[in-house]
Amino acid sequence: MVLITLVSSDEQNFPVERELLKQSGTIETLIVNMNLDDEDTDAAAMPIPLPNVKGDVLEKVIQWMEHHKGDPVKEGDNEDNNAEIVVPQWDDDFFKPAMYGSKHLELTVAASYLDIKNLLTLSCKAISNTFKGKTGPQIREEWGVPNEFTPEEEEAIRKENEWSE
Amino acid sequence: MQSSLLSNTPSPSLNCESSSDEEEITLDEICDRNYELSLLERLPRELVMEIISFAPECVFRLRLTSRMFRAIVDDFAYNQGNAQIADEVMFTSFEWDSKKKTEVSAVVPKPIYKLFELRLLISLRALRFDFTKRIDRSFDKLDDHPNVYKLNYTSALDYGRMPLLQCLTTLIVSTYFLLSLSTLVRSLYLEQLQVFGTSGWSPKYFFGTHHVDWSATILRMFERRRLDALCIENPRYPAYLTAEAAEMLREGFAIELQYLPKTGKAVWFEATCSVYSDEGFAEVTNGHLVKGVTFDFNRAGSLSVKHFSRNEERLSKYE
Repeated sequence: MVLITLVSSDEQNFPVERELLKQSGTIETLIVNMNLDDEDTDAAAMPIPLPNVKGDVLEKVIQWMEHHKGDPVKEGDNEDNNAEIVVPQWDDDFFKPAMYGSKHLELTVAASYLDIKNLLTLSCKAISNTFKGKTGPQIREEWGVPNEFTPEEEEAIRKENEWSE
Repeated sequence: MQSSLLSNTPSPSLNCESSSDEEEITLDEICDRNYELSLLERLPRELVMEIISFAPECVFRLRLTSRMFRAIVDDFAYNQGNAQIADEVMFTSFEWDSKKKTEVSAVVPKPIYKLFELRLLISLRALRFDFTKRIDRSFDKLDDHPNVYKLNYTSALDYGRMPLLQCLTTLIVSTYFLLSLSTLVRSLYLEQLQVFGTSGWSPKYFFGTHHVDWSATILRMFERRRLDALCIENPRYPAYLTAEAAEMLREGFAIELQYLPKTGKAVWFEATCSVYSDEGFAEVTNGHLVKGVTFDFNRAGSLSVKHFSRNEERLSKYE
């Protein structure tokens, strides 16, 4: 089993099975560019630096990739109807402890940076699920968004929205 | 931690009108105040858009969370949505009580009807159009049944006497609608049906107007993000595409101007027209086969511009 070492922004090393990394478009490109797949290259001696991902986030990403090892990797533009995508139970449980917090958002940013399309899709979907059935002020409260609207401004938006209620 | 979530990409400016006092705030101005933003608002803009795309039913409620979200949601609804927004859109023109009326109807799937309504709200607000009393909405309680929206508006008796403003509004609605569609779909099939009872009949009629330079609109449609195939069937009013317009589409008037074979896309375009009635032609320009076809008893004359890789493709209302 070939292992490739990923290095987080806080310089933690994560040896990861080569096969898992096929889920990340960014890392896959780096592996190709660094010739890490060549038999003559000593992959263990050439760690891949990921300066935009912190160690605790990278650990979660690797945990997610391990669970989804072997899943088909999405390619190209997302042409699916996003409204109909369902977050599987395992992923829901995976995101839940971090929900409404910085960890989930950092994981989403990491999925985007590392170009892990399935993780990005499910992570965004999980965030969007927290909006459902809630009013604007409730969403604001849950995600800690400060209320910057003046009462007049809020009333004007409510009036504009009224047509669709 | 918060700084790691900040987008380094400057956000494009977006006019975000406040309904109450017409104050305009741009996304950049909002981003300048990012020290006040929550973690969710500090996500890169494209990720916020991605998240919104998963919850189209929440767009109106999200507008009430913050200025930043309101601006991004409005931008998403107006410009960026990838999902199909309507199953069917129909324009019908008729005369009623000596007035020319146009009815636009749209069939919209339930899961995205809120997104459609927000787009409608923003589009018609920009035209200063009091739409709320003019749109008839039919909701079916069943989830898998679409909503139907009908908008009626009245034009003047004939175009010769039509007030300029009204004429302009009609043109803006038509061409604006086509441009908006071109950001959403890859292919469009437009068929002009025969319009009965129009006192101002003209062989230039297409899409509710007689006076549009269609070459400019068609080129602008292909400039939009998604559209790369367009079929226009208008054999009943064949002069809607003038010789100048056809030439503009085919090869441009000046070298710096864009024309169909040079849009940067592998274009598929076909339009009925009478420009090449006497003599057809075929030529190759920038990897595209450009053909002017004369009419005969079986088919209308046409102009076609098709990239070599798409020459065998067919586009019809039945596909």
